[in-house]
Amino acid sequence: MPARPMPSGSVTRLLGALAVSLAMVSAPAPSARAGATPVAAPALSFERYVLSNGLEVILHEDHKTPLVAVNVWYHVGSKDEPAGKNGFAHLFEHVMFQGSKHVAEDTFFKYLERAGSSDRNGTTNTDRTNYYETLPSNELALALWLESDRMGWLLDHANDDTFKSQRDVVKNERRQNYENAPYGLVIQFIREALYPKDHPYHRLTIGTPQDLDAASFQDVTAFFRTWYLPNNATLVVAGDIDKKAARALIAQYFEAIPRGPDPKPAKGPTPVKLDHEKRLEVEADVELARVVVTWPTPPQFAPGDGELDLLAEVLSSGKTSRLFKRLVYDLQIAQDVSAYQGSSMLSSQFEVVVTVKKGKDPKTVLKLVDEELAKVREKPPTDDELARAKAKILSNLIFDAERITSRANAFNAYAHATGDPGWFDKDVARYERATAADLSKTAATWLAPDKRIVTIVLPKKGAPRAGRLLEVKP
Amino acid sequence: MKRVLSTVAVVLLMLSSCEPKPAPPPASPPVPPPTVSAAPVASPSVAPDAFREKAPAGAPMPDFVPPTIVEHKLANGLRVLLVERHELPIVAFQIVVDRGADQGPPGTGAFLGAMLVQGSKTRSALEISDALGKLGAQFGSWGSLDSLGVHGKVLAPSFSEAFAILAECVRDPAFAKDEVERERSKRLTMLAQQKDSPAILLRNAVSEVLYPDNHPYHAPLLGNEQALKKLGAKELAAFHRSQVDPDDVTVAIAGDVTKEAALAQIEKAFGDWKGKKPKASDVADPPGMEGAPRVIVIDRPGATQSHLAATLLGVPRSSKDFHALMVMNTILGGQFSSRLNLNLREKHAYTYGASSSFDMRHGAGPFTAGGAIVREKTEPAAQEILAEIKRIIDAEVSEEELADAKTNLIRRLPASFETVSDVAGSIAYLAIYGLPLDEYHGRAAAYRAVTRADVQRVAKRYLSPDKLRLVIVGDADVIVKDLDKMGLGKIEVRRAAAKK
Repeated sequence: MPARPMPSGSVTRLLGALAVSLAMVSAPAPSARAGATPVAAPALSFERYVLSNGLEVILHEDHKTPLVAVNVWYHVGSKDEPAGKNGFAHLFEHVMFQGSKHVAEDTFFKYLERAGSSDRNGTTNTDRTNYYETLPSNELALALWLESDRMGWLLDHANDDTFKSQRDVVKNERRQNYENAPYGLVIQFIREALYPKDHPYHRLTIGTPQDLDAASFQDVTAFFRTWYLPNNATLVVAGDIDKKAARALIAQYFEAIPRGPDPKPAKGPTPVKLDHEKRLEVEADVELARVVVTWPTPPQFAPGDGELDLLAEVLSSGKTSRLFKRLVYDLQIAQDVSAYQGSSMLSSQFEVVVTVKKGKDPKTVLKLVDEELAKVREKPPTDDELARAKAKILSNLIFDAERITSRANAFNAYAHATGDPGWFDKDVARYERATAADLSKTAATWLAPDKRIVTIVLPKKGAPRAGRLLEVKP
Repeated sequence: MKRVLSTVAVVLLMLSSCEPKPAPPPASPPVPPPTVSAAPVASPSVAPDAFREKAPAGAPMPDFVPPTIVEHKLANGLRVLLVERHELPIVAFQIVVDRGADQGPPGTGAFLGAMLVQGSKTRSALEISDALGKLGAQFGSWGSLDSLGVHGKVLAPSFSEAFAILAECVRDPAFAKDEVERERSKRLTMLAQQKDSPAILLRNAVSEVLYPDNHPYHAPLLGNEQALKKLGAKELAAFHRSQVDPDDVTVAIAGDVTKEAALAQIEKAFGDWKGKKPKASDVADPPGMEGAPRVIVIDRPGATQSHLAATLLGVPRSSKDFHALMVMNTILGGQFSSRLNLNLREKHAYTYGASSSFDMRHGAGPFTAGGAIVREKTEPAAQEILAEIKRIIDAEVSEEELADAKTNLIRRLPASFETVSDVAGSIAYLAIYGLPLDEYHGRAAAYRAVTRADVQRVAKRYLSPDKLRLVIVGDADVIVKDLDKMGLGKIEVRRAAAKK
C-alpha cells in the first residue's frame, strides 16, 4: 500500500506514522483499513443485552490469550450512602467477599486462586462498586457461579461476626492508607472545603472511624436489598469465550436472581462552583511541605474533561512540561509536581500538587504555579506540546486496552458513565479533536486564579503524619 | 484529522481481530438500561437450582505453550531475546545488564540507573524526554540490586526511533555535571522522604539487621547521605564503564516487529560497540548473627499501626529448591487464602493483609513474613506469625493445600505472557538470572513434582525459628511492654535522632 502524505499542522506524527505502518501490519479487517472509513469504523466489538431481571450483560470476544475477564459493576458508590454511614459502600464491598449461600466463609478467593486467577479484587469509589476476576478461560463458569451467588444469595450467609471482622479489617485499611500515611488525610480536608455538607462527594469513600463504628449488620441487609440488584448491575465477560456458550452460562447462573425496585442513585447536586479562593492551612509530621491547588471541574466525559486531561499533560508530563521544567528542573525548588484531572460522575477536581524541597518557600512555589497557569490561560500551548499530550494519552488508551482485565473494566466504565459500552472511539475522538486554543480556553474557564482551594501543608514535628487542619480561610 | 481517527479505529478493531471472522454487528440492537420499575419486589426466598450447590468443575485447561524465544548474539557478545507477536501494533523492549547495584558502593547502581535517561552522547535530558514524548512512548530506566537498564513501549511504527534513542542511553550516557547535581539533590531529598514511609523504614531496617555493614545488601538501594555526597559524574561514569558492556547486555524484545527488523536496529545501535567487563563479583552469604538482638523496634511515636516483619536470610534465585519454596511460600503467605492472611486478616482482623515472600536475588535476599498490624495487637500478631511458621515446619501441609497452591502457580502462567510488556519482562528475567530459554516450558512439570514432603523439607531447611528475628516499625512506648512477654530476649529500640 502506498504511503500516504503526512498530515500537516498539529496532528501527531505518531498517529500519522501509525497509519502508514498499519498498511503493513497483518490482517486488520480490510474495511477499516480503507482511508475513507472514518468515524463509523467499528471500535472494540461487543454484544449487549439485558436479562429478564434487568441485569445488563456485555460480551466481548478475543482469543489472543486463553484468559477470561469477568467484571461486575454495581451502580452504587459512596455518593449513595445514607447519612451518618460514611464508608459503608466500601465496607459492604468487603462483606461481598466473605461468602454467600453456596460459597463458604473464606473460600471465595480460594476458589479463584486454585483456578489460577491472575487478577481478582473489588474496588469502591464515589460512583460505583466493581468486582472482577481474570482467570484461565476454561474457568468462566466458576467466576459466574461466584458472582451470581453473591448477587442473589449473599444474605443467606453474611452474618454479624463476619461483618464486624471486616469492619476491623477496613479500619486497618484506613490506618494503613490514610491515617498513617504521609499527607494521608489532606484529600479529605480538601473535599470538605470543596463540597458542601449535603453534597455526595463531601466525604471520602474510605469513611470515618465514627461512621464505620456506627454501622450495623442491619445496614448490610438494607444496603443489599436497595442496591445489589440485577437491575442495578452490569456484567462484562471478555476474552477467550464463545459468545453463545457464554450467553447460556450467564442465563443459567443469573436469570433466577429476582429483580428489585429500581434504585435511585444520587445524581445531584450538580457540579459545585466556588466564588472565591479558600485557603487551607495544614500541619503534618512529614519531611517536606506540599502545595495543593484544587479547582472544581466538569464531570467525567463532559465537555472540558478531555481538554483538562491534555492540559495536565502540558503542565506536568515530561521534563519540558511547564510546571516540571520551571519548578523541578530549572529552579529546583520542588521535588516533584503533578497535575491531573480527577474525573467523577457528578463533578471532577483538577489538581496541581507540588512537593516543596527543604528550605524552599511554598508561597514562592504557589506564585510560580500561578504564573505558569496564567500563561496557558492567555496563550495556547505550542503544537509540539499538544502533539506530545495527545500522543501520550492516545498511546496509553491503546496500551491499556491490551490487557483483558482493563478492557473489560473499560466497557463497564463507558457504559456506566455514558450508557454506551462502545464509547472507546468517542473517547479517542474527544482528545483527537481538541485544539491548542481549546486548551487555553478551558484553562481560562475552569482554572480561574480566584475560584479555587489552595492547601498548604507545612511540616511540624509531633503533628499527625496524615495532617491536621488548622484553619480554613475565609 | 479524519484520517487519524480512522487509524485509531483500526487499532481498536485489531483488539478483537483474533476472532475467526470480522465481528458481526450486535445480534440484537443495544437495549437501553432499564429505568422503569415494572417488576415486583424481590421475594425473599428463592429456591436455587441444584447446580448451585457446588462449584462448577472447570473445563479442561486450555493448552498453553509459552512463546518460543528466538535468541541471537551479535559479534561483540550482545545477546538478543525476541518474541514476535503481531496481534497489536505495539512493541515492548528492555535493554538490561544482568548485574546491578550489588556490584558497587551504596547508592551507585540506582543513581546510575536514574541517570541513563538524563542525557546521552547526542541528546540532552530534555531532548530525550521530548523525543520519546512525541512518540507517545512509555519508557524509563532503573538500577536495582540485580540488574540495570532501560525499558520502552511504543506503537510499532515508532519502534526504530524509540529504540535508537534508548539504546544510546544505555551505551553512551552523558553524565553532564548539572544533571548529576540535579539528580543528587533529588536523591538526597528522597532519602529524607523515606522517613515518612513506615513500609520503607521497615524494608531498610530488615536489610540492616540481616546484612553486616560492608555487605552489598546492607544499605538501602538509594544509598545513604554520606555515599550520595561522594558520588559524582566521575564515579558514575566509572561504574558505567565497569558494568555496562556488550557481553553482559541483553536486548529483550516482544511485539509487532519481525526478527529481521529488530536485529537490524540492534546491529545499528550496538554492532560497533566494544568492551568486555570483568567477571561480576558474587554476593556472599553474611555471617550468622549469634548473640544479636532478636527483636528490633524502630520507634515511630503515635503510629496507630506497627509495620512488622519476621525475617531471616533467604535464598538466591539460583536455589535448587526454587519450585518447592514457591509452593511452600504460596501456602504460608503468598496468596490471599494463605495461612498467614486467613489467620491475621480473616480470623483475627489484626491487619488489612498479611503475607510472606522470599526475595530471591543473585545472592540470598531476605525472607519476610508480616504486615501492617493495629498497634494494640502487635504482640499477638507476632505470636501468630511465628506460630504459622512453626506449623509449616512441624507438620506436612494438607493434600488440598498442596494441590491448590500448585494449580495456582501453574495456571496463572499464561497471564505472565498476556501483554508485550509482560513478555519482554518475562524474557528479560531469564537473562538477568541466567535461566534457560525453556524455563517457562518446564515450570508446570516442576511444580507438579513438588510433594508434601518437599514442602516440609524446605520449610525446615530455610525457616529455622531460632534464626527468625522480628523487626517492627511502631510506637515503642506502647508495644515494647507486650513484646517483652514473648521472651525473645533483649529488645533493641532505635529511636529517631534528637530534633535538630
